[in-house]
Amino acid sequence: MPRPDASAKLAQAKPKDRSGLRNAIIAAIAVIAVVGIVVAIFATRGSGNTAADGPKGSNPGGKGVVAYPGKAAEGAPVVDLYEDFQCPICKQLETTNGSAIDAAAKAGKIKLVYHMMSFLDDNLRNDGSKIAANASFCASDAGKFPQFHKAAFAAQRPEEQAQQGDTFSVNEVKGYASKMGLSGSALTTYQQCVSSDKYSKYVTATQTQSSKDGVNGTPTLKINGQALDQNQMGGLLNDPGSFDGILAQYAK
Amino acid sequence: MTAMTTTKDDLVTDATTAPRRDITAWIGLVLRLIVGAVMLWAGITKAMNLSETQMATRAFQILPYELAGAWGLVMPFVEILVGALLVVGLFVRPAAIVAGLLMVAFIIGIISVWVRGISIDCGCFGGGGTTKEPAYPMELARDIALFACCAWLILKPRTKFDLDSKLWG
Repeated sequence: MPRPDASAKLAQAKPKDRSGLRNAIIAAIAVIAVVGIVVAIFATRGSGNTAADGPKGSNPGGKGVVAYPGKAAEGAPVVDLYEDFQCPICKQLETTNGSAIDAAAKAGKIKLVYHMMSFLDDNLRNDGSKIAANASFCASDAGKFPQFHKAAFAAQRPEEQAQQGDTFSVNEVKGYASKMGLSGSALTTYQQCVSSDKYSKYVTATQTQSSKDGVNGTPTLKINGQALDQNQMGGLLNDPGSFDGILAQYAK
Repeated sequence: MTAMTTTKDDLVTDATTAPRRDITAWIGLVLRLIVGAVMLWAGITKAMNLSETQMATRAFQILPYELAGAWGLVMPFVEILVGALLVVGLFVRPAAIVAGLLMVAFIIGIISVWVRGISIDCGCFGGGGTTKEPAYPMELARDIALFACCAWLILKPRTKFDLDSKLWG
């Protein structure tokens, strides 16, 4: 086979020497990549640290707040409830089974541990979850966590409003003090604790530890460490007062 | 033939191989734009909310907590870079290799959570986290198809309207 146009082609398309440009682009990409990786590693270093001072009634290392410290009977099943104060489905759970769960804990039938997560701040682009979580820990110092929990979920606004910034504010959660029955020095302590964002580290630690525990969505309910499956969670969300029945199935 | 390049092969191009080469280059263009656009879009949606993306990468529970967070910070920008290179047709083969490796990582990730019974949204286009109905088969099929596109581009990196042939000929 003859190659008639080979030389013509060669002349027409003589090599363009752009190796300088090429090397510059490659070098730029390499530098950006290295810088990016270094920045990312430094930015995330220590992010898994969960050491933080928690309020009275809390487990160390962001492992939640016990609703009624010391109330649970010997060998009572441990119920871990992972929630975010801005989570609408958590509000639904509170509506259908909040009082049933609270009653069981109050009676010492279960050891109820609340893990107040705050990842919805990122989705909703506000600080509501963190503000409410910190205040709930302040309430725990006063022995009023369950009361705060109830007041906050009652006041939760729909997602669309929260996205517009209409959500828990420092002043608002301070105002829950009257609903919790705080007065005198307990009231002052609570309000200072809320204003100073005293438990911000414990708020972060709770989020981090929950994430490490594989909890990526709220509400998640675990009984003796075992998460409820979708069906049972659905039942809990939709059937008022169904908690005791589910507890009986799990905590044998 | 203007878009043709001056590799040794081209010099011996004759009437019988040219059209086939042309079709290959056109297919390559389509694949390059598909993979490039998908990666660019996926990268941008993830980069818009990095903390959400980090939560999604942690939700896979494969890497240690901090490393998963670092991966969540870096990966969206790798996707954007690779997607942009593929769209304009610059460094097509290396870009396709990186894109292909990303697809392999995503495929492994999805199979891993599926096998372990973890119910999450892959967060492939932002978001992520727990979901009631994971769409693992669809997500896997999509990533395998994209991987196949990458494989084609690795083997046949010469495509129509690419910057590679214009710049380095």
